Amino acid sequence: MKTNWRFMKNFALSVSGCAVLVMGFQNCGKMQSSHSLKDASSNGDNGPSMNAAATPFECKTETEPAPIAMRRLTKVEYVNTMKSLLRTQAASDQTAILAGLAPLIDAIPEDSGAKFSRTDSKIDQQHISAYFYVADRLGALLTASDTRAKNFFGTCAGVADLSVACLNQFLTGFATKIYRRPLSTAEADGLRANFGAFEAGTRNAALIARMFTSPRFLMLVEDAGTDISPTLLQISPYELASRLSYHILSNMPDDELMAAAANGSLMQDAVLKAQIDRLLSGANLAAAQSSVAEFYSQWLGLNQLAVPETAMGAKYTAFANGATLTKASMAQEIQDMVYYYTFTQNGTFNDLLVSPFSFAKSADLASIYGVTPWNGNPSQMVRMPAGERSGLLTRAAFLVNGSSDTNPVKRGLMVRQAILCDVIPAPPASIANQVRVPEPDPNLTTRQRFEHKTSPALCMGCHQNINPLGFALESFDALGRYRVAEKIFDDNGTFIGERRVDPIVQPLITHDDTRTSSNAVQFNQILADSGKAQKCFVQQYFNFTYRQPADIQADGCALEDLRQNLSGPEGSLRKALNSVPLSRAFKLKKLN
Amino acid sequence: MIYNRQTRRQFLRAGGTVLALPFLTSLWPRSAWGQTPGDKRFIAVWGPYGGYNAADLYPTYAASTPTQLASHTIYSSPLTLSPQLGSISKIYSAALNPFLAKLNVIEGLDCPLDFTHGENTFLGHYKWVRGADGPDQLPYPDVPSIDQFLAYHPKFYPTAPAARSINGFDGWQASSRMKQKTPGNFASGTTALGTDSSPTAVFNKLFGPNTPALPNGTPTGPTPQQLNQKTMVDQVLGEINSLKNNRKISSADKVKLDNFATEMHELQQKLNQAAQQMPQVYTCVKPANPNMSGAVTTTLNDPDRKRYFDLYTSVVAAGIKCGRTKMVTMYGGYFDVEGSNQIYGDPWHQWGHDGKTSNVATTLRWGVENIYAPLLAKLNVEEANGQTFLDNSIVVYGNDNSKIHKSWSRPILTAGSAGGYLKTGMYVDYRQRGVTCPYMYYATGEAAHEMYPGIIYNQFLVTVLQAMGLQPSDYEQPGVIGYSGVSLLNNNTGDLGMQYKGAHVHAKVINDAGKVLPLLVLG
Repeated sequence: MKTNWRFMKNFALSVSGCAVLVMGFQNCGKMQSSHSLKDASSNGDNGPSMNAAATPFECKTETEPAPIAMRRLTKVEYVNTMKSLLRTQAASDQTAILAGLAPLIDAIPEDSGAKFSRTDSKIDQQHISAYFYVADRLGALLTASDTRAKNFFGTCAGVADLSVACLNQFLTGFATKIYRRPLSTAEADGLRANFGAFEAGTRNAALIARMFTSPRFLMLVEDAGTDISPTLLQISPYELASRLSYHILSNMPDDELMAAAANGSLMQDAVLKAQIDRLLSGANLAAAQSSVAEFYSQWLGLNQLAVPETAMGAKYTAFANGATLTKASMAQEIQDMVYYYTFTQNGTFNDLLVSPFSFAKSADLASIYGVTPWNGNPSQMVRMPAGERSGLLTRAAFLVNGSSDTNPVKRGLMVRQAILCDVIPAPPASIANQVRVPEPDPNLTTRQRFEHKTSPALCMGCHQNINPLGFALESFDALGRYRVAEKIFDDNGTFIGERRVDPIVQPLITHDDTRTSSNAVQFNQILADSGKAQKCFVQQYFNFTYRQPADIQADGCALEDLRQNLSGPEGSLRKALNSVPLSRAFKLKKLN
Repeated sequence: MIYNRQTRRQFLRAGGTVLALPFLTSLWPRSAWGQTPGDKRFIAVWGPYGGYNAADLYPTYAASTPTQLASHTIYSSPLTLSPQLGSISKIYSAALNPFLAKLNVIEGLDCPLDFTHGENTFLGHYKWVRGADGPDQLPYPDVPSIDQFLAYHPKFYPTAPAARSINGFDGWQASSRMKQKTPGNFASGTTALGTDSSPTAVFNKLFGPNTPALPNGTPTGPTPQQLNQKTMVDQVLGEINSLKNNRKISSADKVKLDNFATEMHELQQKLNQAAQQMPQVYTCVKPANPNMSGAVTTTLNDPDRKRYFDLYTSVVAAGIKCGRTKMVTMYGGYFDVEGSNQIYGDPWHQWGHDGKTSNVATTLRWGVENIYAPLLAKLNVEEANGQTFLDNSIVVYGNDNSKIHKSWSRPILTAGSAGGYLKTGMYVDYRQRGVTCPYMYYATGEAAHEMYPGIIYNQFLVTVLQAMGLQPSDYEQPGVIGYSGVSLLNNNTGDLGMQYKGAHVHAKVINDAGKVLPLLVLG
């Protein structure tokens, strides 16, 4: 999402230069929905290609899923796994060990996938060096006392090199947790030999470092599946346990999951379903919610929210008129909204798009909406003022612009790209430095200024699909406050005019949907009705789950299965969440 | 205590600055060490009885590249892992996988003697063997076993080491190794050698109060942690290679693993670069007294037996690394893990007679996994110039018997190249496939591993002697082919040399007994 936001910012800045940079927008005629290539290519005209509303993903049962490459643990997963493996230590030792590791763990690069950080699968020298030295230090810390050594290796251990029997006990015991499955005979033999090769008196620490530097620990290695075809495996129960646990909790499998893997029952749908339910509730709920929050935050760019800086100048001061907002309060609202419809209510994706409730707990955000703060009690929901706003897109998190003026192109791009998964070609880099946002004009609304700048026919190749989605939200100012008229200030903060806003648009959510919306509530309903946002969500959640872009052809069945669980007759957010690990694709590994 | 055996330079670290100071190696007397980096060492681990199924011992594929000798065609192939087993064989288990490129599996080495048991023949003493009713004297020259010949040869030990040899673990009537009564004098005859029966006994012999002091060096060499770090990176790289061989690893996975390995290699270079600022040779670490003074006996339970061998091989490895000895031979029947703990009697011996090959395979595998492979790991530590102690050694794992009471096609597994003398990573089959000899042929029922006559075991002994730096003139005697000799004078059943020479086996096999092993010697 980070990249998209950056792109949108540049793109939005470039808008006013459109008239003289028309060539850069000609490619908009090829704009496609990333999940509807077939539909798009069949349109046969030069306009933007957007699929029909609720077209299913094409599921060919004979098609094998796209290959998934082995991946490393994300930094979050790595840290969570470390913490889990240290739970056998005394609380004070856990704290001390983690404190000792902290500077070394900090050196692990932050994940930076194109949209979702967990899709970052690169392994560079910074990663390997950091892993190595963390492991090395961990070995020293865990063997600093007999107590720590016993709590790690087993009661037979101490600071002195492990005896043969104790080493064997460890290799069939706690080592299983580190590798997330029992060690093969060859692996155990190898580690025994490794142990013997280390310098006497330091073998325990070296063995720990050795195991925590292993690809078996650092990567999700899947090499024990059962052949379905020469190129397709059903992953092993232990591999399924890891996929499941890292997907839902961003952490290693717990004992119960490992036990279900050990007896093979995890491969049974009923058991798997029960485990999914368990991982999404009770003591695991917070971790599961955190993973869900990670998805929404990165999908919707909540970690990149534009918030006005404190010293924006006289114009902003006049515009804000005392209103303030924080990133935290805006992001918290979206998180609360998602949790409410996913974990509290069996809500649908459409609920997210058209929800009439405010989830603003902070006074500043509630004030923006003109409601009282929500106390978090599901039975005391706070309704938004009637007819003003509904759903995700009318939340401050999506409306703030970091200035006193709205930018409808930026908003439109966000909807078109993030919510609808339409692909809009990037403008040439040469545009960026030549254009400016249209200057304020006391006689024109923001919409009118942007319409004027993007009016040339070749500009409209793109902007006919971008602008309406932004104009539909012009009933909200740059702080997300509802408005019927736009107040215009000069740079000194002097009020120079007021113009009635016009949110009436033909959103063209899909190419063949010519309905018109008169306000944001109607606009969001059209969006929800289209089924296109649902497909986009499906595609995004697939990418998040499998940590790589979906292959529309090969992954069609998994995508359609998820779509049905999300927006089918019985679909819901929770059902979609639960259904992903239950899908056939989640248990498969394509070899080539 | 940590000692630098040989230091090219020392670096002092102060205030974050690395200051290089030259260090004169001559400051330390070479005699204090008794060896220099790259010295050759010989280590043998062997047991009695045989009785295994050869298919459990040798690779699952047939050596396939033919080479024509004067006598017959032999075959060789690169040594690879069985895809089914994930190891060389059932007996040569996955514990050996990290050393695959440093091993040789040799088939078809015939010890052309008739004896009931011949543990001392493993190291080349052919005169006295065990017959059915006690010691038998065969018409062979009374030479010491090669370990003892080397241990007293000035080319092997220019100066006296702390211990000329370590002789474990136990011996049959103390005759597993034979020493010359007057070293260097073949006419003096031989005498049986005692046994260093416990880890503590070995420790005392190598590092005890009656051994020369280790030199007083400033401990500025790599710390054990630094040594472990380098070892660890090597191990992880080995693991990655092993992982890539799994059929269920996709091509996309392999890209990731290659990526992982590339970065590990870079890390390795960094560690090496750091190490270049340290002494370039291994730093001797004097081990603690293992405090295990008992011999390996029938009373040891399995964990204690494993501990015994771990301690024994650890002290031995430390002794080699610290230059306290270069000769270690370890013979014994205590690999048995099946519970009887008998020394030489049942069950192993009986298994051989009863054809319980699976039990024997388990026993031999136990020896691989608890003695041989751990020892290789302990020696596979860089000594100097990128070469490990293992690289500079020959470490043998074998049996004096193949089938029970038979010493044809004696099983030999080697590790190390003696500093580049041996080619490694080979599976060599010296047998004359399809040719049977009525006096020596013992039908095994294993089509791929029938005991067809191969080449004389003496060639292996000669190869070891030359690998350790000796020339034929250093050990050959008039009228004796090679080292131990091949008797052609007696054609009674007590000496199969004549039959071996007979119509069924080309005479050139006999005549080659003084030559080094074909295909395996680089020179």
